[in-house]
Amino acid sequence: MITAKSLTKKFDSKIALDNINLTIPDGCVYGLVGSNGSGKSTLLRLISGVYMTDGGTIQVDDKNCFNNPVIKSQIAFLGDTPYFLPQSNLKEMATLYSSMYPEFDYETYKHLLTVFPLNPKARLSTFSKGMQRQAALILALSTNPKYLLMDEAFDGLDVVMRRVLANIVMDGVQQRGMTAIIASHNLRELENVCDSVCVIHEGKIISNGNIESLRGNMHKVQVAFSEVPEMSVFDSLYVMKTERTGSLLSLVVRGEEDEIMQFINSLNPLYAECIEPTLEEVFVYELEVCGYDVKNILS
Amino acid sequence: MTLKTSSRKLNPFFKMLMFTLRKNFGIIIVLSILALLYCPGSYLANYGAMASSVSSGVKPYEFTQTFCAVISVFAPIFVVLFNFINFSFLYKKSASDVFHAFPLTRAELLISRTISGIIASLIPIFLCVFCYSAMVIFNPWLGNFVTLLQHIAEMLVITLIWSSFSLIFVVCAGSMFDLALSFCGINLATVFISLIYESIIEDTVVGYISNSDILYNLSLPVFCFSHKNNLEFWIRSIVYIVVFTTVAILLYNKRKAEKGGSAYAYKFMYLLCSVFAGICGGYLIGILFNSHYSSVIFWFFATIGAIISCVIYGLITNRGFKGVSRSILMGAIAISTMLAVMIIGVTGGLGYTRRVPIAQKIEQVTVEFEDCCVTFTNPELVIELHNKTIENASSDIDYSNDHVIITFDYKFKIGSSMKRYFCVPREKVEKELLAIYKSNERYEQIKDELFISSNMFRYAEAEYRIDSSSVYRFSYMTKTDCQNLLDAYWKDVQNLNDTSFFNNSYKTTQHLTIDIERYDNEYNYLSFYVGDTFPNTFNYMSEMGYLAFY
Repeated sequence: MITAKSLTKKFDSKIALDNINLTIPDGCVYGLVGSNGSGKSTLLRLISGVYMTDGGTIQVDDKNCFNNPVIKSQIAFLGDTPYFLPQSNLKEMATLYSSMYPEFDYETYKHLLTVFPLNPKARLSTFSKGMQRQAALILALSTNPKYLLMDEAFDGLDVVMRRVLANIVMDGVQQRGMTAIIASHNLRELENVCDSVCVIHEGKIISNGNIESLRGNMHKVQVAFSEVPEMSVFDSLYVMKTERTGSLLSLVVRGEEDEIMQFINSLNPLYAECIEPTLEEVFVYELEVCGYDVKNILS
Repeated sequence: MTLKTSSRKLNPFFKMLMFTLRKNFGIIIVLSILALLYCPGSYLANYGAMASSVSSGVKPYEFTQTFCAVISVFAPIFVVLFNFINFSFLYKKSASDVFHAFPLTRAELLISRTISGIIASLIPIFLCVFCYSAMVIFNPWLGNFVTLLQHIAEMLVITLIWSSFSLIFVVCAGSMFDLALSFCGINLATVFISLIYESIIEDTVVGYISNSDILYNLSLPVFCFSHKNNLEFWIRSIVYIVVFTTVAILLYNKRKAEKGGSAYAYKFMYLLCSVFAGICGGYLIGILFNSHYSSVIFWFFATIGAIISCVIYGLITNRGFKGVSRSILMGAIAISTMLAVMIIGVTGGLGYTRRVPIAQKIEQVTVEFEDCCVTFTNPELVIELHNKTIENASSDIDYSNDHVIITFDYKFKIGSSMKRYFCVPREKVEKELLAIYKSNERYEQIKDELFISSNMFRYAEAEYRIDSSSVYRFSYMTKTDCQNLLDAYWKDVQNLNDTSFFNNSYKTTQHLTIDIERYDNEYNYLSFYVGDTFPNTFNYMSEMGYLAFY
């Protein structure tokens, strides 16, 4: 379990993370979402022990991460820009990783080389951006980490590879109880992968929780009337957002689906349908209610 | 559990060490070729010339010293080079992420890569040493193994000092450019600043005797390459290695990884470099306009020079005009340090000028003025002279007027020493100087220097110069001649009074110089003023018939 308590990180005078409190349970896929410079990558570097905190604590399994080799041996951190030693190839990098990480598994490495078909003897500097990311993924996943931290994990990968990566991560979580933390500025990327999502904005957590529970009691109702009633009719519902296009109303309502639809149908609409909002919509509605400029946050 | 823990600690550490060494293999090859070009390459090429130099008196240990002097320069350069290469990951964010995420403590990471750098730098050097040793085995005239071992030990220590010292810069820098700039700049600047401060102190502190101690103590390159192969060198070297390594580890543990890419990870390094640049630039500009530290013109232009230097350094470091005001402040601080040194000097060097040691702590003291140099174990006479000298000492060294230059060299019972150098109006210390001039200690020392008590006395030659055109030479003086000459001289010395002593000083052109040689080829040289107030001496020289005019 990863626990952050009053975690603060500053870059000179700029506060990158401001008094963050966070708990990431084991065995889940956790998404970190936020615009560029929101503090996602900083949080990942703090967890992986690359950065030291300027205030508060960040602990993995109740132990501080910074300068702690035992904890760091359980973490694989995949930064936003893959790095390989100059003039090296994947085989050499695997040698380095295998000497550093006690759990490095050559079987997994070989298996991943079949999933991501790369030439292990070719110079990594000749690889495309997507191939370099695949190489970095192979190395990170071969360490059999308990915690896999990925910054902009899907960046540079094509659609097929994104799906492959998502499946590998899911397998790791299900089979080994791995915890994956994926930072992205694109919420749509995380929608079908993450169990929980944390939205960070300007170094602060503005939303954090399990996707299903967040999504669970929020509904998007599209309803058409021959004659649109006064909006006050819906006062008995917890309407978060209303949009009107002619005689078609789109309502975002919080509550039980049956109760909402029962009420809507009692108004004799021409057409009424309850659809599940996308994760992005959930956050947009939630955050707009809180007064955030959502377009800026979920770019 | 202990076994498991220790194996975890050892494995990544050694694996990182070995991995780094493997990655350095290419550079090791290149440097090895370079080293082998020196030895055996250049030795084989110059074999004939070296063999012939043996017949002209070159000793084996001299070849070894030359060989070791060269490798002692190369080894530190190699180790610094490897440190720069092996820690380049600190200056690139993506590389820093990977290396700092590895399951190693920062100390383990630092030390493993440093050790691999040291090994890598010593491989070419030891290849060289191996070849040289092989050549010495077959050509014993080419070297001396004892000297070789001694110098290799010294070279190893110097290499470790430079490795640990460069680590501090490696950790403090934020980019490779700033690392090279700060490392080269500070090492050159310490030499230059030591010379500047030495010059200011020499000019302002009354009693200060110029020596290379400041340079030796403040500048690491001078310390390492001065080849003072004594106990102090070894102790200080070990202290340097331990202190530099500890400081580097502590700084690395606190280093913010995110600073990679900026000029410096620690602000103090920027400030230090800036002040050093200010002092050097200020001095150079100041001295261009006026060479006297007491001159306002010097300080005015030195201030301008310091500010310009700091601004230029700031422009380079900040990659632009950001922080110009701070650079101006650093220039002011740089010039303030120079001013502070001058003010301290002018006001007595924090008690330096007026310090007179306590008699009980003195083991011996040597006082030197004009033709007199005497060592006392009972320092009363000297302390009296020292006190009088301090009261009357001139702030400038004056060779033209009636001044005398006196040097005091104290050796203390605890092993330390103290030297002072004064210029004082002669009339103010005449009585004290005369007491020393007539002292029994002086007589005994002249006797010793003439080797009169030694069975090894071979012969002496003397020269009596009245002026530039009148010179008398005496050949093959015996021990008895020397003793008689000394007795005659001493009789005259005892008859000296304040006035005759004053006249028998730099004012006279009459000198007696004696060269003495022993059977064991030891020799000595003495010189005295022997003016008109030395009738007994002059009479002895003429009566004994030694006078032969050339």
